[in-house]
Amino acid sequence: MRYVKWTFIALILLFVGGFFHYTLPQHDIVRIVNTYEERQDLSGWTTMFWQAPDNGSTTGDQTRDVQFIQAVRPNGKSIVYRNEDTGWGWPPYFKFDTANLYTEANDAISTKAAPEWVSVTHYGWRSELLSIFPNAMGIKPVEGPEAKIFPWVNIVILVGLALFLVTLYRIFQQFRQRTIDPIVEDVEDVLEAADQKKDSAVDKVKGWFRK
Amino acid sequence: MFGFLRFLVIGLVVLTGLYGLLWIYVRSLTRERLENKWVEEGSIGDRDVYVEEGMRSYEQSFRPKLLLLVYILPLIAFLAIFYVTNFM
Repeated sequence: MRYVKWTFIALILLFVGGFFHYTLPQHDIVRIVNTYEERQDLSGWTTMFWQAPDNGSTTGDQTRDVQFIQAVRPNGKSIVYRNEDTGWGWPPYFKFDTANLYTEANDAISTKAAPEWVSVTHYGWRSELLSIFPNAMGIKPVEGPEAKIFPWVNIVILVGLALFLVTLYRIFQQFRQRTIDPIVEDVEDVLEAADQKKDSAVDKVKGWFRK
Repeated sequence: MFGFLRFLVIGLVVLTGLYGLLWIYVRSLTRERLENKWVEEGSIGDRDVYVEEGMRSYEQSFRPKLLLLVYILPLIAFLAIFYVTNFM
């Protein structure tokens, strides 16, 4: 039973952690090498890793052209981003500047001989197996491949969320202390009174037989 | 446009729910504080009258209006995110 419980807790933690890791912004230091646009026929459950049609580049069904940004990390490994509007949907980045970002990405293309390093802000995961791509949010030039970007935004969001959860817990505590507990006490008092009444009635009956 | 309306409606509903919760919570805290203050001051006079009077002066003060931050802070956050994403 204990294993079941811990497996359950671990699964929940994994899910919550995964959710934040997917949704919160991250920065990659990369060199952009190319951009392309490709027709995507989205189907099945991996559709949830793409924007909904009404937020995407086209409306209608799940077939549409999606822009991609190809980049190389300082260690030589490749990474490909998709470039889609999030619009008013989830996650709440309110990205509407896909076309502008595409232009910036094209402007930032550099060669191996004369590299221009940029920080790509993105959310999401790259999975070759599932054919899913992180969504690029912004491109900023940086000095070099060793540049580090401190995750202020993530800290603010996580601290804010923690404060929110603590507040909810305090609200619940106050509600329990001021509203539920008095009711429970009242019920206990009533039960106790009834119990005493019953006891005295029983004593009375016993009294009859004692005589 | 439909997406914007959906975002607006869901946002308003969620924030109003949160506003209601906090409204009840802060009133409950104020009431508790007044009850304790009544005891500290030596339990003079009727407790309920003292608490109701204190609640009325709380309602007239600026403090309940601070709860409107529930709407204002997310609006500021939205504007900041919108600006950073699209125009920076």
